[in-house]
Amino acid sequence: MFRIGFLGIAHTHGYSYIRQIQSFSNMIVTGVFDRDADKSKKASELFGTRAFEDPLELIENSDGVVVTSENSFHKKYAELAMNKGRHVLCEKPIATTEEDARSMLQTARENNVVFQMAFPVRYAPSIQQARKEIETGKLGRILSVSATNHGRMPGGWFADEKLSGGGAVMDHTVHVVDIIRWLLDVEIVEVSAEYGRLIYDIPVEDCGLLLLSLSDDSFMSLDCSWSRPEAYPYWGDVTLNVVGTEGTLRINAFDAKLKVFSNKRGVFWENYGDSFDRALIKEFADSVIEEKKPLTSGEDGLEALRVALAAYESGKVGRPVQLNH
Amino acid sequence: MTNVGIIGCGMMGRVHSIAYTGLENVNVKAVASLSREQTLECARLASSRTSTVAEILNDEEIEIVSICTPTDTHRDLVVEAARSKKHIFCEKPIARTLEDALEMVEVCRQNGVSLGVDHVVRFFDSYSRAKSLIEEGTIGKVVMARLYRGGVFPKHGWNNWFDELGRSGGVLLDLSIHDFDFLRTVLGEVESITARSVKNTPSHPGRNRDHALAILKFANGSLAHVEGSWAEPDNAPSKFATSFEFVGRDGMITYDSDEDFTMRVQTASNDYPSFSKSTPAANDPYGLHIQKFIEAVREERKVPVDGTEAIEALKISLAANRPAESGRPVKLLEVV
Repeated sequence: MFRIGFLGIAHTHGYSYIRQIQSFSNMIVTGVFDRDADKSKKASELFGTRAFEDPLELIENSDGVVVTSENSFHKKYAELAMNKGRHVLCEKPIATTEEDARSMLQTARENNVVFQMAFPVRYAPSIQQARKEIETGKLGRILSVSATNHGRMPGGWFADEKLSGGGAVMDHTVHVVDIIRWLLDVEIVEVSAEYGRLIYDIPVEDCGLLLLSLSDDSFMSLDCSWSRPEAYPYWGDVTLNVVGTEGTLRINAFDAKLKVFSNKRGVFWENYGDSFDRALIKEFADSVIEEKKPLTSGEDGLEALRVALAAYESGKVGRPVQLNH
Repeated sequence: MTNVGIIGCGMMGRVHSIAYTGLENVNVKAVASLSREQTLECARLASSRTSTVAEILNDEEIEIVSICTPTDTHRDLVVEAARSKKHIFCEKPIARTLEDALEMVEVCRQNGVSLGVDHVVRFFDSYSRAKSLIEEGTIGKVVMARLYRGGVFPKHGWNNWFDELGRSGGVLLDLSIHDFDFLRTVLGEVESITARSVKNTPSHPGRNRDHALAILKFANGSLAHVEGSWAEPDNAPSKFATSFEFVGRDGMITYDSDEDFTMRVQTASNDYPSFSKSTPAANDPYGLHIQKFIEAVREERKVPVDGTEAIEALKISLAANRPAESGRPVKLLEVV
């Protein structure tokens, strides 16, 4: 039985991960710790698991941990578990500074534990298939990608830079950067960004547009905005328009949808696609059991974070920022 | 009765021919182009006769001339037509270079003739209705926009002129200029642009690729993403598509021609496209634009999308073409 504890349950993705773990017969959620006791109590009651007051006690009782705290606490909790020899699945972004991220990678190496990043979109069936399509060569050489990761404005600690590290750019750049690095086997070598607080009166940016140069001389744009209104029938999207010399490929990763018109629940889209989170959790268990590097590793987390940080830098200096590899 | 001459009988010449025939009290008196075959076809469509450029410009009964030739030829033809005291309805983009466009506007002014430029997207029902909704405050102040326009490469150009950057200006000048113009009507003036584009033209024709991404920052602080493409494979079932998304502080409006349409036709016959989708409408947007142009000429008012407005859209395209190499944001002022 693979015993998994939750260090921090501030990020709502944690709820989905708990649900997925509980659906596997060979995994169990040992409990939940959060620095806010109300949060751990709420989650523990909802999922019938134990609320811990001491993170070390939870770590003692677990084989691996999921870190779904606020972003700025990722390093603290991940390293706490790693130093006790526990495997870690960390919510994205890996951390809020490059220094923290590098420290986490070092700690994972020293303790020889699995360090997986929660980049669920890479596990999406459409993204997995897209990589196979591209590998056949049927699209020719890839020239350009335009991508979006739209969402609603999440509010709460996401809008508190001290806890989140930034707004929409920090929250939504990393998913798509991770997908593209893997799909095209490239690194991002230059970042140019425009962003701002355009929609909401909050302390962080809610809209962003990035233009990225890739290591294979192609280029891509990324719209990482929290621009889906409350009235939108779904939370958001992940889309790609990939243009090659011999063909094009489009992805709308969450568009396996039914349009529902309910007098009780209003108008909404119901996603019937395979759960990306389920595949993500399975990869965590498989990586631990098979002692392998997970599909989405801590190193991937660092590279994605560097792009988000470079976007902020570009916005500040008003010109493209280079990234070394 | 308003007499019209059409110069240039390629795809847009045909579109203008059809548009004029839908208007009352308008007569296409003559059509001219370098292609005998295409000229005959436009003459047939417009119930007109074939002619020459000189004949059209010297015909005192012709008041309005449509210019439907390749972009880099607009200046010479418009200047000549203006000196012949013709009002001019010119295909977009107004010209290949800013210098050409400025000269055209100046010569038209000197000769007291009107110059209208066919930024027809403003007259498409889907776009104009979205603009009305925005102006009514339906989604609050618009702060972000995302527009796509693209499809297969336009192989139909005379001597493949779309493929020559020096003639067409590429996808950012020929295609995305529609979206730049429309964005101006919604968000105002552009402050800076960051863009990337790629051109990859293998030797054999029909496999051209031209694709561009542009990020625009407007003077009012709002942002826009514009994607233009001639990169879809020639045999793609969907030959052309447009989409837009306007994000306001109180909501959002979206449209996608690939998803939102009223008619789909699929055929086995080789004489017709194997697949088409459309939203047939009473108003032909080209006819609507031309009708408003003629009304404005009659009443001696400013014509819709005059040369000055067309120059503003041109500047955005030229600015977008500039940082294609560096990715550096270009302030629009640098183009002027």
